[in-house]
Amino acid sequence: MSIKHKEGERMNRSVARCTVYNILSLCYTYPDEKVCSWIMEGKWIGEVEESLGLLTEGNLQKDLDPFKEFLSGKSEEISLDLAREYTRLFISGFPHVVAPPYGSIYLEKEGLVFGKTTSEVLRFYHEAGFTLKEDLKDLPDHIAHELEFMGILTGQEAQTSGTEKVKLEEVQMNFLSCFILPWVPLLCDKIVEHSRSPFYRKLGNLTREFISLEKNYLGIPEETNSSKKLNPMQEEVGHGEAIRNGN
Amino acid sequence: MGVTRRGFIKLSGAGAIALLFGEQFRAFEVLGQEKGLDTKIIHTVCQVCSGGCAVKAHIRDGRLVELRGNPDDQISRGVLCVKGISGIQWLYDPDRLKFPMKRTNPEKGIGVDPQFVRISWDEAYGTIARKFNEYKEKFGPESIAFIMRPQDFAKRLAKAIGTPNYISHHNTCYTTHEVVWGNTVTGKGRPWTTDYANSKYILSFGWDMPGKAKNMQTQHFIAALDKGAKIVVLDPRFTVTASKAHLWIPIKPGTDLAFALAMINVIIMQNLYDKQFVNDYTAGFEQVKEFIKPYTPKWASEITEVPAATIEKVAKEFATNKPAVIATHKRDAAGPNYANSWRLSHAQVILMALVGSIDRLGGPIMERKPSFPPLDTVVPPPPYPKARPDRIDGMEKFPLLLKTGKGSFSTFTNAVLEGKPYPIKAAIVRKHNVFAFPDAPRMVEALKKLEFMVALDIHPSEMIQMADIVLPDHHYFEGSAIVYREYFGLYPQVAIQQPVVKPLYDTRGFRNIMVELGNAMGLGDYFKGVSPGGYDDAAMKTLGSSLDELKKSPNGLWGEPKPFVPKTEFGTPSKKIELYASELRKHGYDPLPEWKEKGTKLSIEYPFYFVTTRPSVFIHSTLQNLEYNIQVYPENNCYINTETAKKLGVKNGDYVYVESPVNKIKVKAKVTEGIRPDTVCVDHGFGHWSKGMTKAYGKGSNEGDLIPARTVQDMLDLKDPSMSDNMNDLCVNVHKA
Repeated sequence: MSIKHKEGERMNRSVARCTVYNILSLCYTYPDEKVCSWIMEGKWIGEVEESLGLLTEGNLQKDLDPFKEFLSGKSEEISLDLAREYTRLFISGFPHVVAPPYGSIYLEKEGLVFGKTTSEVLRFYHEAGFTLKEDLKDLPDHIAHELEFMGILTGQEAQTSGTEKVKLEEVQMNFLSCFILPWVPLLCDKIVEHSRSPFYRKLGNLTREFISLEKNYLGIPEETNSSKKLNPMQEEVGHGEAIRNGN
Repeated sequence: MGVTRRGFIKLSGAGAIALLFGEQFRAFEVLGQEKGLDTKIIHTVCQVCSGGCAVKAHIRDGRLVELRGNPDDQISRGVLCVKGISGIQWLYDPDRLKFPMKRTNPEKGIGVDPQFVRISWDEAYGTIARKFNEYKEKFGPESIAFIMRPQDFAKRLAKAIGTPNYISHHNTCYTTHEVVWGNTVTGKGRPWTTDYANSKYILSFGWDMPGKAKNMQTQHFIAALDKGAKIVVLDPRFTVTASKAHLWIPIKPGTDLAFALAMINVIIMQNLYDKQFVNDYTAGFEQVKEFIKPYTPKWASEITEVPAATIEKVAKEFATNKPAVIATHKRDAAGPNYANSWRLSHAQVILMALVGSIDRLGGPIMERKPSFPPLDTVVPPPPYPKARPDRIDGMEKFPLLLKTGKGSFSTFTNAVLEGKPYPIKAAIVRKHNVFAFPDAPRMVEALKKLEFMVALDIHPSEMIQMADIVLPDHHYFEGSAIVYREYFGLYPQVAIQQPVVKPLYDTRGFRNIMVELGNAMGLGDYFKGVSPGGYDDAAMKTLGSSLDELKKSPNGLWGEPKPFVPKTEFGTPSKKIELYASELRKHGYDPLPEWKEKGTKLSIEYPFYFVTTRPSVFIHSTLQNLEYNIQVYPENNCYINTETAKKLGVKNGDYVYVESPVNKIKVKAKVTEGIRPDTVCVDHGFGHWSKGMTKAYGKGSNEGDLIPARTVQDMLDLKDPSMSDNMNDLCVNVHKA
């Protein structure tokens, strides 16, 4: 009985995690007409609330009010604000892009895109049985793709049990510790510190906290935050950013 | 990338998990079969400069990791320059333009945030088409300007719109050489190949391609050095080439023509010329013989400040060490730098004809590239609307330049600001930066006056900052083309340019953009059957090959080596090298390079001559945003002679103001013995104010700000058929900052 109950709870947890990953991924996707209307519809806030309620006893889910407030504004203004702020944060900013959304920029001393770690991310996707769509027109280590990938893995996990499930959690743990934990919190810091939009500030906060929650959930110890074995470049995390901030 | 609402709703909640699979993914799909990351070598072409070195691109784990020259290519010969190698950094620079964007802040200018917003290609084309058609309707098609290098697809769009204003940068670059060679030797433009490796005597009038790491010229120059060629350099500055020379003559800026004329005088008067060559292949020798009499070494000595004996010695050596060549490329002394530069180019043609070097091994080689048919021949267009003859840049008043298809961007600024001969409302600009032109701040004012501007580029340059719509070009490692070997080609050879990686972002190839924009504007009739691949295939078929065959070529090249057969006929009306240029005369220009002073003189207010140079790690105002390149050359210098610096109280590393009649810039002093005391030199390519270029931003100053922007009337007054912008014909003042 207790085992069954536990199983059921775990099932729900996987679904909840999957839901949050997918919603975060969508929030880091360019707010074109479709994405923007989904954001503005706001149903996702309730889904995040519900999911977080299941995942934590903390107050995380109660902090979603800024999203609601933001979405209560005029819709045309919201859509332009989102597009402008997304472009400024992640694509083309003034005086410079605030928070480049690509992992390699943070993980490698060269501060370039499509570095060794980008290939590693792509290989990781392949080994998990997935690849990026041919017409994606963006890089494999974009925050939105990495979060969607975690969403896929947690979704898969929700459908399995026993050793399969353990295996999938291991895959998640590896991906999170090698490719998300070492840079996404840095990205979130930049967003939280510099964004002019309450939506993205809150998104940065939420992402940071959710990832920290995930770290504990998957049992990743502090010191493997940057798995040096897989990522020898990580000792020089953020060098590219240092250059960027110098300007 | 988007998400369907239906798809997303199904994502949420426990029941939705199964629907995460299959079509429910946004960026992902299930991997059909085991897939490794690519590790391979791909043949392509470097497009950093116009040289077009064929490249072997090494791909490891799906990433471009190494570039090597293609050893079978006549241009690169297996070697790349520092700029070429930095192409990897450029491809992977996070600052690249990634998606089409529109401006949401109507205010424009230096330091103004454009507030760009990402848009789709469809929205971009829709907006441009609406705006362009609106201006065409209201103000005439001439109110739309194309500012870009001559390119058949873009030219078709301009002609289909009906605007005469297709403008390029060349009169700040090499139109002097182009027009003079075209009207004395080739019937086309200037030759680009020079066979330095077989030269015994290389004479440079300010040519410093080794100092600019120009691959195909430097390699052959070094080969000549190794074989014992004698090198003589005339340059006010001790350049890299000068450092390799047997004799450096720090000639007074803008007086090279006098030196060259005196050389002609010595060679003819002392009977040192190649009688056979002159007799068989040249026309007008008798006129030159008469014309050259007053231009003695003694006369030239007073003008150039070079001893007459030195001039005589160089002339004799030049005539007696065969083959001898005058090294030229673009912005050397005979490039568009001085009011008399086109005359110097003419004198150089005469000198090389007198010693029998033209189209002979060891000399300048006429083009042997395959001639690709124009797009209009491959896919004939419907009749174009008639464009009005008068252009915004006034180039129709310079028929010999107009014929070359190379343009004049430098008169654009004043014409737009004055609205003469008519107002320009919109422009589409590709890879032309404000820094390349005289008085860049004034050009920014002119661009601000445009109501609508489209810019295409790879990096967020200054032009991009001024744009209303931004269209991101593919990086050249993402694009496709066929590229004939021109900058060094002893036989016809073509190289394939093909994507070495999948485009990283939502960028597009330039030729496709022109076709798609044409269709969006309702000009689809002009673009029926027009495609980049279709054109490339048709062009290769004229060579008896095909695009497919070229793609399959094991070395990425078409064209077998052929023995060199010297030309016996040239492209002029007389089929000879016209020392006395009948075509120039026909159009009212001096048919012989009569001595004329440069345009400006030293004064108490402006007591220094001004020259410029370009560091080897950059190409003009491009590549400053690459980390390694800017580390090597972090800001530009003002080179000042030691004695002069002492008088000015300037120490090495101090900042100085360099001031011209139009602007003032602040730049770091580099105190050196290697420059004349009356001359200062400032590096080009710095002063980027586009904050999008995070690594280049704020480094150094733009020396082009010092050069005045000319009007069409200024150009007419100069009586120069090439509309040369006289980029170094300037005197400046310098004082400690």
